Amino acid sequence: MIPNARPRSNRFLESYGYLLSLLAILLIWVVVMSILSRDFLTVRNIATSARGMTENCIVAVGMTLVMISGGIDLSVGAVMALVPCVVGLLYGAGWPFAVALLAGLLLGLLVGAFNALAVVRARIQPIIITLATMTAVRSVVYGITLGKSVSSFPAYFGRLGMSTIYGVPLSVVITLAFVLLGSLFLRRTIVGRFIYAVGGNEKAAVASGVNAGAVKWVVYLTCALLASIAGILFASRLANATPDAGISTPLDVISAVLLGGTSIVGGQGRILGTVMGVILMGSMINGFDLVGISSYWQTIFIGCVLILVVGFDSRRQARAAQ
Amino acid sequence: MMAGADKVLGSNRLVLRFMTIPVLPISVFVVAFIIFLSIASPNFFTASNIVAITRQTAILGIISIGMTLSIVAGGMDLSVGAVMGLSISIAGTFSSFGWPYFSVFLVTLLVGAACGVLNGLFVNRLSISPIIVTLGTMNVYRGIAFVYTGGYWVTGLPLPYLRIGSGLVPLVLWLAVLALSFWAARQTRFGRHVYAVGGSENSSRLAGINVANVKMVVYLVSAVLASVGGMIFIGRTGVIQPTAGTGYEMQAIAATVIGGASILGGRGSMIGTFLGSVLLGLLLNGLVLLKVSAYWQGAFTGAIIVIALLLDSARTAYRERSA
Repeated sequence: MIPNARPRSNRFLESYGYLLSLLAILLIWVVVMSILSRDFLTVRNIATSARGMTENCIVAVGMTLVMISGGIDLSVGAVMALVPCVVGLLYGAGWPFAVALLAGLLLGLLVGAFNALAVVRARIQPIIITLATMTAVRSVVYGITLGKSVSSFPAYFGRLGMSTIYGVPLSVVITLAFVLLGSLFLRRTIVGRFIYAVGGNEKAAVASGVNAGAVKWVVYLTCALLASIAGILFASRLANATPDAGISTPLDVISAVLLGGTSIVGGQGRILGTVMGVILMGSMINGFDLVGISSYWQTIFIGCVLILVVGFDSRRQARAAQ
Repeated sequence: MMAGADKVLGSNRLVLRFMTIPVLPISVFVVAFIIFLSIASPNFFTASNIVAITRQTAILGIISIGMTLSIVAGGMDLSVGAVMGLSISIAGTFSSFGWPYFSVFLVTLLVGAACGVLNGLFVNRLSISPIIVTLGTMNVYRGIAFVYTGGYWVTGLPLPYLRIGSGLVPLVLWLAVLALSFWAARQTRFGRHVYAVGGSENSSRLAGINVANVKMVVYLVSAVLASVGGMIFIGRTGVIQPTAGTGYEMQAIAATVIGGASILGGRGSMIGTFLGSVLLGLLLNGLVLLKVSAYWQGAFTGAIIVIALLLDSARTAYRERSA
């Protein structure tokens, strides 16, 4: 991972080879789909499906950080539903929108803080504690909304979600900004490098002076914040906050992150790969929709992709270890 | 587990004893909750309500026993809810062909067994963490259930189907599975091997245990128990629906963890899990009796899991410090 004295061309292939193969699969898919469906390669379809991928992409950036650090966060989908519902309810109760928004984001951060606290202080396995927060938060969302969607938002909120800048959807621009920030953070800052260190070998990282607890706090808080923002964007796209939002997000996002080359055991991965993973999965599902394959098959498909990708990844690593 | 207790001398011996009995906190919890509900609601401590609780909880109780097996073996089976839905969805079509009910139940069990074998194969062959494997197969099985049924329900099942979910039958089935698993975990070679594999896979392999075999049987049993849960589900609701069992995996993990099993494997007991499922069943019943909206059920379940996990991590920390 850390560059050493190997020939340059070899190093390029080593670090980008997997991404290039993803790109090749994507290109093949695009060619096949544009033959099968006339609507696939149109500006309209690309804009619509890009908008549909933005929330998953933003959540996936946070999830990548968590997974590189060796953890996982299953509560992202529930947070995605919680934050906009709370914001809508507070705005409906007469709070100024900016204050309601701030309160919602703080609540999202609170969930992240709870996850971090449980993982760092009580040393509970991330997958279990976030499974518990996922259940609890989702139930709170249903409890406070009584299972109905919340539509008390200012008029400009809905317009913002569908607005464009020079023809590019605003949500896509925001997503690209987060992708860029996340990538710079991971690659160029000390904390970013520490995330890799903690995920690669926590004991070694601690022995060399890394505050592993602080690193985990950073990743879980960032992940919760990004999930909250994704939830807000999703609600503004629909001008409506539904308590069912993000039900399938954890699985979709984790699959995309794994597909993008991030290791399930931590220590490896990059934002660029995650973005590739999201785009690949998103365009495959978009293609299925256009050809008229039911969402039932898509569920099966995502499950198979998850098993195959992680299976190949663990084989690749086993071979690399030999 | 108790070996650590003998090393420590002095006054904190009693505390340590308390901390190292896994089923004690949960027993206290269950008794306290029963007392609370009896006081809070006059309808709680009636024969009909108690029988209703056993009927509601039997499915969870049986699935949780399979979950305990997979968690003690160092894995986890997230596909149980989906296996339940798939096995009854496929068996459902045979009921409309006019097959006798016992052969339909046999098909249910066979589909469950097939799902379990597939899980076991993936876990063994692909060397991926079981959580990821079963997260994947959960989606695959659920998707197949939807594709197979087209999302439609089978209703109007004849009487013999309903018998398995009525009266004391669910309770009897539950207790039978519990007794069998209790005996298997303590008295059989397979039971000891499950604990050994969960404790340390490498040491087990070096000790000559066929780890792959043990895991295969664990995932097979877990899936078959899920389809047994599916049969009771048919009996209780009288319908066959592809969404059956959604969310049961979470509840079953909760029951197992509350019951004192370690999520890292190697530690856990069938009695603890039994008490864990009883607690969750009481919780559900209590929410209904106290007229709390069902929406909040997850919040309470989540809170109980967190408390159980904190207790477990405190216990582990205490043991590590004393050892």
